[in-house]
Amino acid sequence: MKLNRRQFNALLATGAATAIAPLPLMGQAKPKVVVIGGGAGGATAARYLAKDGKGEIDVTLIENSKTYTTCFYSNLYFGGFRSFESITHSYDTLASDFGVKVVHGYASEIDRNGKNVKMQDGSSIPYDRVVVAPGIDLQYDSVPGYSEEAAELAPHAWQAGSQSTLLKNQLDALTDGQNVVMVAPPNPYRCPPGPYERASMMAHLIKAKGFKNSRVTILDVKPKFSKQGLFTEGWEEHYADIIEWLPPEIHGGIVSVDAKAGLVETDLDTFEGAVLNVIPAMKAGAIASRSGLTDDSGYCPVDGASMRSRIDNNVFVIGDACVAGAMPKSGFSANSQAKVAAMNVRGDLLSSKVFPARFANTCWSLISTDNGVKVGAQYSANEKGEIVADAKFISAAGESAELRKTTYEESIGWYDSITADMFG
Amino acid sequence: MMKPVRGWTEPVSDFNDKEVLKLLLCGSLFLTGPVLMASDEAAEILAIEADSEYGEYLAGECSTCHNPNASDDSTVPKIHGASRESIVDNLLAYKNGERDNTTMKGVAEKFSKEEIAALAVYLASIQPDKT
Ligand SMILES: Cc1cc2nc3c(=O)[nH]c(=O)nc-3n(C[C@H](O)[C@H](O)[C@H](O)COP(=O)(O)OP(=O)(O)OC[C@H]3O[C@@H](n4cnc5c(N)ncnc54)[C@H](O)[C@@H]3O)c2cc1C
Repeated sequence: MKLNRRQFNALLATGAATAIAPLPLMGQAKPKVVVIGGGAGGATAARYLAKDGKGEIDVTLIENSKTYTTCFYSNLYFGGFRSFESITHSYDTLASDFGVKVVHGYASEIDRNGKNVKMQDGSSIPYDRVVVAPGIDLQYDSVPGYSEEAAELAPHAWQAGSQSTLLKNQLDALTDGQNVVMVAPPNPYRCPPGPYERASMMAHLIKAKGFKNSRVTILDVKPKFSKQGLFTEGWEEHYADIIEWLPPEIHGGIVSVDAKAGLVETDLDTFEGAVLNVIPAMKAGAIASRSGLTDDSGYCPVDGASMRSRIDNNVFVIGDACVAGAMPKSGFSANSQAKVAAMNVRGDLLSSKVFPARFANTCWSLISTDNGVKVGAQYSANEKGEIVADAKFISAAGESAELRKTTYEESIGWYDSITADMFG
Repeated sequence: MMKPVRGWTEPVSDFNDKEVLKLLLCGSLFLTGPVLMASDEAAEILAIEADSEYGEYLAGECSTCHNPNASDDSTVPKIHGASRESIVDNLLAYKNGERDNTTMKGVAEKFSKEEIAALAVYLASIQPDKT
């Protein structure tokens, strides 16, 4: 088929041109895909685009950090079950074995009209499609008295890396009688069971040190939380004298945090902690709002059938930064969404087959040694493009120790697999 | 003392995933247990002309937990490179409630016969790196 310019422009206007005449056949260079953010979502998307694109797509991954420390399993690092090295990964294989161009730098904005990603250093990287996966940014001022500077004293450790080592060092320096105070975040946030797994791991550490007089107090801004029945059961069994969970009905609201003095003031009382772990509210990574991709929720609306932005057809948003309906913000979800996005990007650029979107998630949590629990579901997109759950499951209360051990061991296999799926 | 080899007398539903995989790999499961490959449903699925490309897409979901290059002692069994028969049998066992890992039940329940067939053709075609 030969098109004249008028016919081609008409096709372009309907969006069909890319489907009929893939860009390489138009005598241009390979189609270009830029992925912003090399985390659970972005690294997976880059790897699948490079792998399944079989050299026909020019894939660039923009990532600010040289290495990636997973938030998943970072709680096990606090509990002493994993080393920092074992949860830190390099981008080398993505470059050497998959041909992904890894650019380390900060992307400041997407020029969506010019189809360019503008980098902080002044350079810009052109794209035909862009996959946006910056994860979350913290809204420090959602907790009165908290700030980015205060986080250097009272870590959130909700983005892994130096924040994780800071919190770990503080926990390791704890002496008997000193307390930990955690401020748990409002919905929606990344990893719904995360704060409660973390409290479990902190209590495990306190117990392992043989301390009798240290407590972990969770000041929650929510009246209930993920896997609550399972955590409560586990805490009663293992950490009855250590973990205390206070919902807003009891503490009455967080009045202020004083990171220097180690104090959290609530309506009820002032809590003192040698370690303060303050987890504020979250929103999509800054580049999303700076590029006009977010809605009032602070996250990016997408069509769940493809993970395509509802705001710009050339943009896909995956992971924590998007509004994914019934899916929780997790590494598993981000990895799952990345594959659907990658397939649709290839469909756009190479006219390859596009199958109906399917997603999955499982969140494992470790409560104590060999005591793992999980919650998960399968998902698909409905006719409105919303992601809905099809089949759900959750560990039961009172399960056998053997099953709990199997569940924990399963999470180890998952960790090895998902990180291999992300980084090769 | 050597442990008696499992697989000849107990029902497969009593096994854990690792044991089932080992048996599948040595083929002994085909001789016994309730998950016989000769079941009508399995035979029907194996006869479907399957779309390997669709299987490849579906298998993306598997790789999140099943590392194609996992070591033999991985806590989540290796499925890439397994036989079509064993993949079909195992997915049916989860779908029909004969095996009870909740994650795998959820995964399998959602698959149609065509999807199981596609997945089996694709996974069986993979030669994982021997690293
Ligand atoms: C304590 C804790 C425990 C968790 N446990 C689990 C678990 O057990 N299982 C699970 O599935 N999930 C878990 N999660 C959630 C999981 O970590 C996140 O949901 C997941 O990382 C989201 O992936 P993402 O790709 O959206 O973002 P991220 O993984 O955060 O990746 C975003 C990347 O983008 C980079 N970036 C951002 N903006 C820019 C920019 N402008 N320019 C360049 N680079 C940029 C960042 O440096 C980062 O590397 C946990 C989270 C926490 C905090």
